[in-house]
Parts: sequence; C-alpha cells; structure tokens
Amino acid sequence: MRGRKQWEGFFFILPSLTGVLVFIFLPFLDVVRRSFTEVVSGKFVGLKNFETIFANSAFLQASFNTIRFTAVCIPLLVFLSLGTAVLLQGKKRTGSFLKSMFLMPMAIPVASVVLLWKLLFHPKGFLNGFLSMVGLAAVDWMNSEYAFGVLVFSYIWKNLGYDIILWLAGLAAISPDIYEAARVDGAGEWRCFFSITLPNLLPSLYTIAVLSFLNSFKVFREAYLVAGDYPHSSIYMMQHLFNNWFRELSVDKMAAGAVVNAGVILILVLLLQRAWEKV
Amino acid sequence: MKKIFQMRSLAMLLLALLAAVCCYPVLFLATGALMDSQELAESLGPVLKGSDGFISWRLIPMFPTLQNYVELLLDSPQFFVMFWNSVKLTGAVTAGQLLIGTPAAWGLARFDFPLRRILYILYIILMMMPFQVRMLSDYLVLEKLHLLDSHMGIILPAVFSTFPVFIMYRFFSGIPEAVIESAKLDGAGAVQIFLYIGVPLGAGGIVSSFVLNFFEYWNLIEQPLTFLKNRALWPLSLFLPDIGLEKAGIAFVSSVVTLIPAALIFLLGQDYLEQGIAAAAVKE
Amino acid sequence: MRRNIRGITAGILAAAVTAISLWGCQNVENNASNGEVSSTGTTAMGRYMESEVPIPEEIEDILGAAILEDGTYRMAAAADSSLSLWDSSDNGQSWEQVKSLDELVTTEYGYLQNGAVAPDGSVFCCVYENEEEDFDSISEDGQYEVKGTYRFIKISPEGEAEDIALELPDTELKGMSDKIMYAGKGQLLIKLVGDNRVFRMDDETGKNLAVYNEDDKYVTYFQTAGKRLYLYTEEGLLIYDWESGEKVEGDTALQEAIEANAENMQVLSSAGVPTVMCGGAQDKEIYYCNEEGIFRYQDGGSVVEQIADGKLNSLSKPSVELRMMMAAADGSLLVLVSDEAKMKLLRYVYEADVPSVPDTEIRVYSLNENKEIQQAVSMFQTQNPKYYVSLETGTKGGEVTVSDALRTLNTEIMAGNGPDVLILDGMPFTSYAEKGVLQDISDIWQEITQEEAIFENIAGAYKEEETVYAIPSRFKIPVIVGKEETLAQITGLAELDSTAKKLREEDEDVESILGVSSIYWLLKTLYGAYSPALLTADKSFDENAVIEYLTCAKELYELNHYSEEQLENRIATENTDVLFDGESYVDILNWYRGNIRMQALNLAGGYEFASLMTVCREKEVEFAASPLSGKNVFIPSTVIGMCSRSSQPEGAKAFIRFLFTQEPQSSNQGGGFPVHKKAFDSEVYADKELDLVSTFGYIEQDEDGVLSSLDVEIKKPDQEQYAQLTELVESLDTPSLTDAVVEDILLEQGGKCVLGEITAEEAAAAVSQKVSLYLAE
Repeated sequence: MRGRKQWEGFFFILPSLTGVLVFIFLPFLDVVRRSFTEVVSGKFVGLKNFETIFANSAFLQASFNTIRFTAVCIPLLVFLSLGTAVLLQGKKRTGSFLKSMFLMPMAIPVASVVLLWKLLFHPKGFLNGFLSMVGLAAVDWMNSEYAFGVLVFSYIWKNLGYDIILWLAGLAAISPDIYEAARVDGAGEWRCFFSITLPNLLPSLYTIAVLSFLNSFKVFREAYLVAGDYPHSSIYMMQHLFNNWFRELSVDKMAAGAVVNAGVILILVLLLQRAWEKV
Repeated sequence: MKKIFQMRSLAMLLLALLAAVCCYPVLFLATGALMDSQELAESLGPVLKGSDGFISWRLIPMFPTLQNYVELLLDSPQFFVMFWNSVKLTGAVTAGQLLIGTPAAWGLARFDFPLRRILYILYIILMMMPFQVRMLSDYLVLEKLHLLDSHMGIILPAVFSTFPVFIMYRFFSGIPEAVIESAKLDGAGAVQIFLYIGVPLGAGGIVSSFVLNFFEYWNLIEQPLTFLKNRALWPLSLFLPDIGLEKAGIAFVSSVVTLIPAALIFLLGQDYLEQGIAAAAVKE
Repeated sequence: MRRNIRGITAGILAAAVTAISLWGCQNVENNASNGEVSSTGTTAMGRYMESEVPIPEEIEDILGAAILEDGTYRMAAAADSSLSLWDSSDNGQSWEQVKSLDELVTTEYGYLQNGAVAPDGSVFCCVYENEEEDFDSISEDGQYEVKGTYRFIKISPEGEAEDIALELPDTELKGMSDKIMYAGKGQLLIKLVGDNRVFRMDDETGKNLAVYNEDDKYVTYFQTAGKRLYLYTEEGLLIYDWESGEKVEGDTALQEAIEANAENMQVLSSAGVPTVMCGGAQDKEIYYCNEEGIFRYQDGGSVVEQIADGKLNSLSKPSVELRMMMAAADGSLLVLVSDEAKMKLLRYVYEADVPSVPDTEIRVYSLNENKEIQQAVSMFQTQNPKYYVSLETGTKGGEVTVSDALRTLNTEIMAGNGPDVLILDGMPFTSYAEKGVLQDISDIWQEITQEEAIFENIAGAYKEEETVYAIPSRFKIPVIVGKEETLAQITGLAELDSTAKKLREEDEDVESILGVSSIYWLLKTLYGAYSPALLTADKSFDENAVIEYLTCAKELYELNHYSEEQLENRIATENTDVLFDGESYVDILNWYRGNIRMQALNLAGGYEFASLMTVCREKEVEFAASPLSGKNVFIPSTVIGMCSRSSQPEGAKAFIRFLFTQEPQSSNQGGGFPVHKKAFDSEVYADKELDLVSTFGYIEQDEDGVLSSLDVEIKKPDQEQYAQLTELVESLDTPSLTDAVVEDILLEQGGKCVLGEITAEEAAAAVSQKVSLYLAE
C-alpha cells in the first residue's frame, strides 16, 4: 500500500484542497496575522496580545471551564456510548428501535432544544416542579454550579446516538471467528471483552474521540441561546469569550486566543496520532 | 447464568429509559403544537409569563387544535420562503460535500503521497475552528469574492469543509487491501477502483457524512445571520426568535415542521447506514 | 416488521414534506410573480419629485378636497374656528375663500363631522347639532346616550345648501359618520362609526343604492379609486366594483402588494390612514400611496409599479399621516397629509432629468428603530436631493438580538463596509472610541455650539478636553412626583423606598403608592435615575448599590395592590407593546382618581410635561429632579457618532450637523427632549399661543357595569413651572449609564428578583459575577 502510485492520491484531493485553501485556510491565516497586530491600525505588536490574554482573568476562567468540560464530557460520553453499544449489539429488533430513539436528539432543531431547556431548567420549570412534588427544594439550575451539569447533560443527550452507531460499526467489524476461537480456548465474557473487543475497537475510539471533541465546541450554541452572553461562571467557555471580545471589537485578543486554541488542539492531535501509531 | 440474564435485563431497562429520555422531547413538541393558546398559557405561564407556581404539562392536550398549524402554514408566507432556503442550502451543501469530499477522503486514505501526513493534520485542525473566531476573516474573504448576501457565500465554504473528509476517511481506510489488490490485478484504473469498489464499500461513511452534515446545515445559525443581510434569503433555522407566550404555539409547530425533513433523512439514512455496516462486516 | 414500520413512517413523513413543499411552492410563486413590485427607479434617470402646494397659513384642518373637472382645486377647510370652501384656479398657487360653511351648523355646540367634495364641485357634509354642551351622557342606570342629532347636507356647485335624508340604518350613535367619500358623480360612499358596512347613496335623493360588506367583516377604513371600492379589514382587502356591486376577486397583484405589509390594514392614528388611493386620468389606472411610496397599477394587470420611493421624500416620515390622494389631469399626484398637526398638500411630478436614485449614499445605522432619526432622514433628503440616506436598523425590530446585531455591525466596520453615521444608543461607544472606530467630530461640535443654542451640559456629556466622539441629541429627565412633604423626605433610593412604605402604612386602601405599570418599566425607570450610583469612585461596580437597587425595586413593586389578572400576567421581560412607554408615563387617570401617591418617571417630551404640570396643579403635588443616585442625572438618548472609516465623510458630517438644527430637533416621537434650546421651548409649548394642549375624556365601567366619565383638560404649563423646568435642565450634569450590557444584566436579574424567583442577594451576586466577567474581558 505505501509508496505506490503516490501522486494519484494527490489528484483525488486536489479539488478539496483548493477550496480549503481559499475558504478555510486563508481566513485562518488572517486570524493568525491579527493575533500579532493591533485592532484597527494593523500595526505589528509582536507578542503583546498573547501577553494580554494570559494575564486576563476572563480568558483564564474560560480556558479552565473549557478544559474541564472537555475532560469530563468526552470520557463520559465514550464510556456511556460504548456500554450502550455493547448491550445493543446483536439484538436486531429492539436494538434497532432503540438506536433510532437515541439518534433522535440530533435531529431536533437547535431552537426547539433551547425552548425545551428553558422550560425544563427554569426556576419554575418542569424539573423544579417535579422536585417540589417529591418534597425537594427547587434550584435555579442555570444560575448555579449545576449549570455545568446541565450542559454536560445536554451534550451527552445530543451526541449519544451517533457515537453508539459508530461503536456498533466498529463492533460489527470484528470477525466472530476470533471470538469462537477464544471461547474454544475457554475464555469468559469479560476476558473476551478486554482482550479482543477493546483492542479491535481502537481505530473507532480514535474517530469517536475526535468527533466528540469537535462536538463539545458545538454545545456553545445551546448554552448561548439559553443563558445569554454572560452565563454562570461554571459554563463560561472560550467561545463566550470570543463572542464577547468580538462584540467589543477586541479582535486582537480574540485572534490571539484563537491561535492559542489552535495550538493546543494541534498538540492534542499530534499526541493522539503518536499514541495510535504506537498501538 | 441467571444473574447475567438479570443484569442484562436491568441494563436493557435502563437503556430503554435512556432512550425514552432522548425521545420525549419530540413527543413534547408534537403535543405542544396541538395545544391552543389558552392551554399553553395555562401550562407554560409560570415560565413565560411570571405566573405563580410551577410549570405543568398534559401529555394529551385537552382541546387539541390545528390552529397553530393553520397559522404557520397558511398565514406565514415567510415560513415557506425560509423552508425552501433551508432545503436549497442543505441540499447544495451536502451534495457538494459528497462530490468534493469523497475523493479527497479516498485520496488521503489509500494513497501515500508527500505531505499526506501534514495535510491530514491540517484538515483536522481546520475542522476544529469555531465560527466566532473565523467570522471576521471569512467575511473579508467572501467580500473580496463578492459572495456576500448570497446563498453561494454560505454554500461554497461549507462544501469545502474538512469535516466530511474526516468521517469518510475513517471508513475508507477500513477497506481491506486485498479487495483493492484483486481489482488491480483485473486491470482496473485508479478512478475505476474508486468508483466501483471504494464508494460501494465506503457507503457507510458516505451516508454517515451525509446524515451528520444534513443535521448540521439544516440547523445552521451563525453563518446566515452574519453573511446574509437580505431576510428573504434566511433559512428556517433563523425563524424562531425569542419565544414568548404569544409565539409559543408557533414555536412548537415550526419545531415540528422543521424536524420532519431531518427525521425523514435519518430514518432513510439509517437503513443505508445499517446496510453499510453489515456490508463492511461481510466483506471481511 | 421493523422494516415495514420504518418504511411506513418514512412514507408518511415524506408525504407530509411533499405536501408542505407543494403548498409552499404555490405560495412562494404567488408571492414572487403576482405580488411583484418592480421599481422604475432602477433606470438611471427620472424621478417623481415632491413639492409642497402652498395652502393658506390660517388653515388648521381640511375635511375634504377634490380636483374639479375644470382643474380647480377645491377644499372644505377650517381656519380660525370657521369653516369655508376654498378654491384655487392656478393649481394651488393661490387660494380664495368662496363660501362660508359656518351657517350649516345652526346650534351652539354643533360642528362639522365630515365632508367630501365631488368632482363637479358639490360638497356633502355631515353636521352634528346640539343645543346642550354635553356630547353624551350616561343615565342613572348606566345607559349610554349620544345627545344631539346628525344632519346630512348637500351644497350644490352654485352654493345652495339642502338637507338630505339619507336612508341609513339606526345606530346607537345616531348616524355619526366615520367617513364620506365621493365615488363618482352624485355617488356617495358612507360608512358609519360602529358599523362595518359601506353604503352607496344618491346624494340628491338620499336613496340607498347599494350596501357593501354585508358579511360585517371588521373594516378599519376604506378607499375608492376609479370604479373600485377597497375595504381594508384585518384579514385583507375586500374589493368591490362599486357600480355593479360585485365583489372582485381578480386583483391579486394589488392585493398582495398592499396586504404584504400588515400595517397597511390597521388604523393606528386618528389623523390619517396608512394607505390612500385614487383613480388615474386613464381608464383602469389606479394609484396608491403609503409610507413606502407611491405605486401605480393597471386594473387587471399582474404587476404593481413603484413610481416614487417613500424613503426619498416625506412619505416615510413617521409624523406624516395620509388623508387622501388625488390625480390631476396632467399626471401629477396630490397627497393631502397632516404633519404634526399641520395640513400639507404634497404634489408629486415626474421630472425626467433628475437621477432616479441620488448617487451619494449616506448610511445611517441604529440598533433599534428610531423615529426621530427616520423623521430627520426624510427632512434631510427633501432638502438635499443629491444625497440618498439609507437607515438600517440592526435588531430588525427585535428579530435579531443586540449582541448578534453588534457582531454583524463590527464585521462590516472591520471590513471597511461600515455605515457612515452611527446612532450609538445601546452600543459600547467608549470602547469604539478607544479603538479608533469613531471619528473625532469636534469640528462639528464647534459649528453646532457656535451656530445653535443648545444645552451644552447635556450635549457635551461625552466631550473630552480636545476631542468629542459622541454627542447626545436628546435626553430624558428623571423626576419624582408627590406632595411637597413627601418629596422633602426623598433624598435617595432607599429613602424613596422607606417613604413609600410609610405612605402605605398611613393608607391601607389606596390602590397603589408608586404608580407602576409593570416590573419591566419599574426596573427600567429606576435604573435610568439610579445608575450613576452603581459605580464606585474608581469606576468599578458597587455590589451594595446593586443590592439596594434590587431590594428597593422589589419592595416598591410589592407595595401596590394588584388584581388577580395582573398577578397572572406579570412579565418581567421587555414590554412588547410598542405604543406604550411606561418609563415616561404620567398616570393621569390614577392621579385624578386618587389612586396613587407618588410617581417616579423619566420625562421624555413636552406632552408628558404638560400632563404632569396639569396633575401638579389639580392635585397639589410637586415635581423635583430625581435624587435617587444623589447626583443630577439625565438620560442621554439618540447619541450621534460618525464612523472613522466612512467613505462619505462630507455627507456624514452634513447629516450630523443637520441633526442639531431646529427642524429635526423639533420633532419628538417619544425619543426625548431636544438639546436645541429653541426646539426645546417649542416642545414644551413655551412659545405657543395656546391655553389648552389637549382634552380627553375617559369613560369607564366599574365591576357593576356602571359607566362614569372623567374629563381631563391638559393645560399649558405656567411661567413658574417653566422656570422650574429650565432650572432643572440646566443643573443636570451626570449622564445615566448607557452601557447596554450592564443594563440588560441588571434588568434580567432584577426581573427574577421582583418576581420572587430568587432573592435580592442571589440576584446581586449573579449581577456581580456577570458584570465582573464583562469588565474583565
């Protein structure tokens, strides 16, 4: 496979590449340029913007929140979806039916989701109504530390379905023969799982991890539409900050923040690549 | 054995509950769409109006009415314009992505050419950029190309998104080398291999990409808001402004109506998805 | 099985989508082709230019007008409380009184209700006659009755008056006509108040020739053009061929075009109607005119043509109300309008050698709709035809959030596509100034201060040593109202609260202590007066001040008694009723009824001031500058700035300079007092020779169904009151905080606090957290 007919591949990717360069890479370069210049005059200021943002408490808060959210959500989602996929595996009818149900949230338009969250988590909303019925105190969900939990819930609710499908695809790709052989050798359920299933799922894990990471950024939309520009500090994320900086025309700070973001992602991706290669 | 069976059943029960949680919102929207404004005011008053007490909800509306549907479908001409705009945008984008992205994913997955590694990483990073950051720069680029305030200004950048490439790449790289080899032995050229082997075997990925991107662009908010000044060009996702009590009925109905195409796509797509998954497994 | 269920579901959904799509297809096509309005303005040259036909100064109101068959202009007008017929035989250049109509009214308290002039010169009137002073009365058992009678009189072209008995149905209002129009020679169209039908009658015999709208659809107004009768209802146009009496269904293009704007179907003012129509000189030619411009349509055709763009002339002015339209034989169009209580006759004539759209565009941007600027734009354009001023509203009437609108604006500014003039209300303009987005307009400032007399303490609120980036063009005045002893005790917000509580203790029954219309308005009004107190000396946020603000707001709100219905409907977010401004509302009704003890409001105009002065006089209460923040606060409004990257600096400066001249400053649509001193004087009626500003009567029904009426006369304030006001205005030195982000946060949390969803401490903590995030960014 490697080294054969190299340049043909290049032609396959050419149309995409041209478009990407113009519509996506070019703007990105512009952002990088802006991170080194002043807002309106365009003067080059070196690393000043970077210094500013690292000293900025809002930036630090947002970074912390974003990292915290990602670190909590992704493993949670990965495990939940894997567990569900394993349970659903092989069950034709109920499995397929449940699969459809899990995928539903993804199809619901954002505005409707926002409406639902508003009705559910409002101080006088459904959740509090239910709590009061069972005798517990009402909580202002969106304005307290619980807001973080709400956001995590929203994220998992939305993305569970697709990750399940991807896991199922990965599970289906493992040949049953291997399991046969292992059972003949006397291996039990758990042993099979750890020694056969998991290792074979690693490529899927890579895809799912990256996708989940990407989707964790999208949760901003719901957070913004429900809680506005300045939500509770526990859910104040990088994108809120970028949004607000842009509104205030602090494009220089925003660009610097974006470059830092991109840098962190780059490192993560490279690490992931390394890790996958080792396996 | 019994224990495992019990555990299994318990687990299935939990799953069923989880699935119900996922699905309930759709039911909620559908019933809400059938409620008349008085019932909505009563039920949702505490949140939307400031009445006392907690919000309440009836599973089945007491006085089901089609009034909301009528109001939306018959009295709001801009709804249809926006509906069509959404169809146009989403259709064009997904079609373009398949056209451009599929070969790109194939190229990245099956061929080793210089810069491949770098391009791959670049594609992933570019995929991750949130819109807020790119907004101004995108605007400038679009402005130079005179694509502002037109649907093409949203369609073109979206067509070249690297996200579909990434999804399809995964599926393409899973295709066993043996199949390709045998095709080559039969004398097939690169393009033929791509079209007659790659695409069918990677169908799972193509469909996945189509479905995911359909949802993404059907719900697109930021780009149309920023780049389209002319409201006649706005898609459906921008239809619902802040939801107050007067508009609650309409909000529910338009949610339901907006949901239908998305639900349709994924119902149809699911079949193909499964076929794709099954096929991939069989080919092994 | 599973496949089948899935298939069926998919099938149903697909069918639904197809059905919706097909339906939508139809509608969209209809909208696209039939209702299409093509603009002749796309050709390079030729424009319908507006000019004003001079009508005699003394004319106060015009009841009816027509262009006679021989080209004479005739109108029935009131001048100096006397009614006459005026004729002009030189196309309006000069007018003479030809007949007095005063003798028509024979009783002391009678008046001319309605009038219409026919193309042959005859005039038809509806006259109200009453010997007694009372227009109506409510009898002991609550029955409402109109006193007096209505007569219908026709005046022939030669001047002979004759009573005509019209075959009209009996109504409670005894023949009070809403509108009379001539459809054709001798053909009268009449609609009565309280009745939805339109009657066509013979003006000689009074016979009822036809009745339209038998179905009794609710008609807001009607117009006639050529052979057509157009009834405007809330569901759309009802079109009749008045000669045959048949309903016309085929005029889809015209109907679509007019119905496209819902505002065309409602009557929101007593001074005019949204759309006026007339028949053209040619057969089947129909013209109509509204704030969007003048349109021409061929009866039976498929396209409506826009021949004049309302944005380029007075038609788009918010203060202009349309009365009627007439077509002259030479193709020019005349539109009778009322503009701020003055009658005007506007003529539109096609001039082929004027560019159809001026080539220089000045872009003005405002986040929210601003009627004063709309007015000014129209005025500026009429006087400067070489400029085309386009006004853009960022939030598009509430469809886009302020944040999103600002982001879009910023994108455009950064890309060099920004507007030329900015209305800075709601924008972070100090930040813009720092970043160099705003142009230093100290040169305009110099001009303004040298050539006009303005309140520099207000307009100069944002002036720095050498530079000025933002100039407020209007302002609101926070005041408190109450008995002298009460006011003496109020030295701050906390004292307002405690004094109010004391008043409540003294009187358990009175309906409200502090007249408050809703949570939103209470919070907003208090914020306007209190906001400077929210900042500490070093410009950071004072959490204690926030707690005080929220606690007081809540307690003040709770001091009033509310009905069940009011409790059910407490919305704490923005008031969606666009006509009601609770911030500057003088609650006359409740003052007169004795239902309130105090008010805190932010005066926004002369009419409110006069109302307030009337209340002060009648109820023996005083007003004073609001002391809530401990400083002399005013609320800047319609703050003007210029974009540094503007591509039309000359035009932008010209427009900004224009905004501070007397004419635009004199027109207040609720935005606040003008900073221009002469305009201010005229705003508060100081330079007007009148005694009575306005009168109105309230009729109300209490819970037993008993009717009672209350008559209020709003008089011109007296010298003492003017002196007090002027002294107040000149002492104001602290602008209220205009930071929209902070205001929004406070109002949102405040709303929750007052509603009881969270405590004041929690709300204050939330405010603190959010504002500190904001300040830290």
